[in-house]
Amino acid sequence: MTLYLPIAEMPVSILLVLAMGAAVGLISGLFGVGGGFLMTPLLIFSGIPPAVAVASVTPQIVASSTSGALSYWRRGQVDFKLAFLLIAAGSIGALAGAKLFAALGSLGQLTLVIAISYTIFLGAIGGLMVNESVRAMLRARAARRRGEALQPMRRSATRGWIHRLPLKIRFRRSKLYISVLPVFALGASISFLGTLLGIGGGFIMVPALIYLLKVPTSVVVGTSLVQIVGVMAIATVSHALASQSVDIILAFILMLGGVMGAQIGASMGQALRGEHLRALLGLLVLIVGVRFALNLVLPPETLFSITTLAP
Amino acid sequence: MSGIVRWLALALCLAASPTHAETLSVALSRDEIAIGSSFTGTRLSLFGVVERDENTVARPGAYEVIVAVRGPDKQVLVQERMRRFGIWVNDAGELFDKMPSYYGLFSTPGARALIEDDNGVARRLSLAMLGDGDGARERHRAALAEQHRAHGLYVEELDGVEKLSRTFFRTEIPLPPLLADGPYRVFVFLYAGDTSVAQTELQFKVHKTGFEQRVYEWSRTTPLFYGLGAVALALFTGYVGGVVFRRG
Repeated sequence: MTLYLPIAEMPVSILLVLAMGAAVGLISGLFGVGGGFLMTPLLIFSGIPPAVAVASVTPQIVASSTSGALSYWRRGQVDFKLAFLLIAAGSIGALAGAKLFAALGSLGQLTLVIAISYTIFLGAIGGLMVNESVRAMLRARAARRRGEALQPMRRSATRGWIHRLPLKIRFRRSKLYISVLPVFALGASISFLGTLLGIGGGFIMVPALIYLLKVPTSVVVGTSLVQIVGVMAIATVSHALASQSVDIILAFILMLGGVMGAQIGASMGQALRGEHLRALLGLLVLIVGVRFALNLVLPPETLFSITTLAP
Repeated sequence: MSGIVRWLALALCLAASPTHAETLSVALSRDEIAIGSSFTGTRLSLFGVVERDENTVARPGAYEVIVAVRGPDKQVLVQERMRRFGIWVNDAGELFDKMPSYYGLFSTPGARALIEDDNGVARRLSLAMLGDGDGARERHRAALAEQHRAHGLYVEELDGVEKLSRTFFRTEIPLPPLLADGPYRVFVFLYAGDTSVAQTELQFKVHKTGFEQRVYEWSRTTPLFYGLGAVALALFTGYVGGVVFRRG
């Protein structure tokens, strides 16, 4: 059963797109991530033009983050002041990202920049995640062998340079008194990357909030989800304005698949231990990164790339 | 002055002379192709008949027909990939300002030589001559044509025109799924031997229809509202999904 996509201007198989949405939804439900970093490459590798893939995954990320954000909100686990500051900074990053995205598209260099960025970011973050979770697993095993309870990891008590910056404001919910500068830098840079690459950036934002800003873990995920909904909404509008490559039909089918898959994934996730989940997620991120790296290094099938510009 | 008048008179004589009295009548099976939600490509039939009035000199050989179909022009950037610092990157590329998004060339088998021979009279119509043929760009042009050919957007069928009788012919124009919308021009040429004896032109239109068209136009004319609409749809779907599955 095929469906013609009006913006991508090509027919696709509905079932294939639905299945991709469900598979990525399952993974995002399982690991508590947005899944954009998987969805965008899957679409690109299945023949959707990279511009349309990135721009259409942004509204899909809005949909997949909304229900999560709402449930954290109901439980009071969102620091709204922090989220809105991140979104405000993020709007600048999203606009810049969409502008650069449109410019790279008309230069015919978008695919290359996406491939290089995915290689670097997914490779680095996947590597760190695998490394961290394997260490955690080894520590847990050693502790069990000695018959002790696992000691919680010690956090450094010293406050880093980030906490000595000026323009401090108070975040009551997070019980923090920190400078707005790192908050702005974080919000703007992650949304810039997210808009350019078609990812929500939760898997960068969550560790950054925990380790750089020392936001308490109880509000981290909720705050990050609200931030993702806000920033990806701005990114969607920016893409619609700058490159007109948001395919609302493609996005909607992905949303349907994603919403269904996420529920199954969430219930599967209950059965797995935290460090195992993190190791698996790290491995997955690493594999996508390596896939992009291979694309860059291996000789291409055709020596020419062809981009249709304006009529 | 008198020279010009003499030339004009001569030209009028030639135009009225019975050696040029064939006329071509052609018709397409449809003059509109609608791209809807289930569009996966289609075919268009072209029928034609050669009409001769009674004064027309009898031609010793058969008529040969060439049909060229040209879709709306597009600007295309063709870049060559090269290895830099160990990875494959695109160079700045060559820009082709007006390449047809679709090009189909169909002919009776007898016209093959007219198109394929280096000095054939219809050489300029051949797929190999599409775009400009100057040295450095030639490889880029060939790559572009090859990709379009693989997508079914460039077609050359030199036995694609079927003669149903001495003066009646038909051909099928295959239109692939990745079809650009806009006006398509169809040129029909009639040859007797090496001589072009008649030609005619007609058009058909390819356009998105119904929902697909409205979505496309919406995204182009009011992109701000299109973007906001996409966000609203996403928020709604996410919310409904959350509610439905929380109860279930």
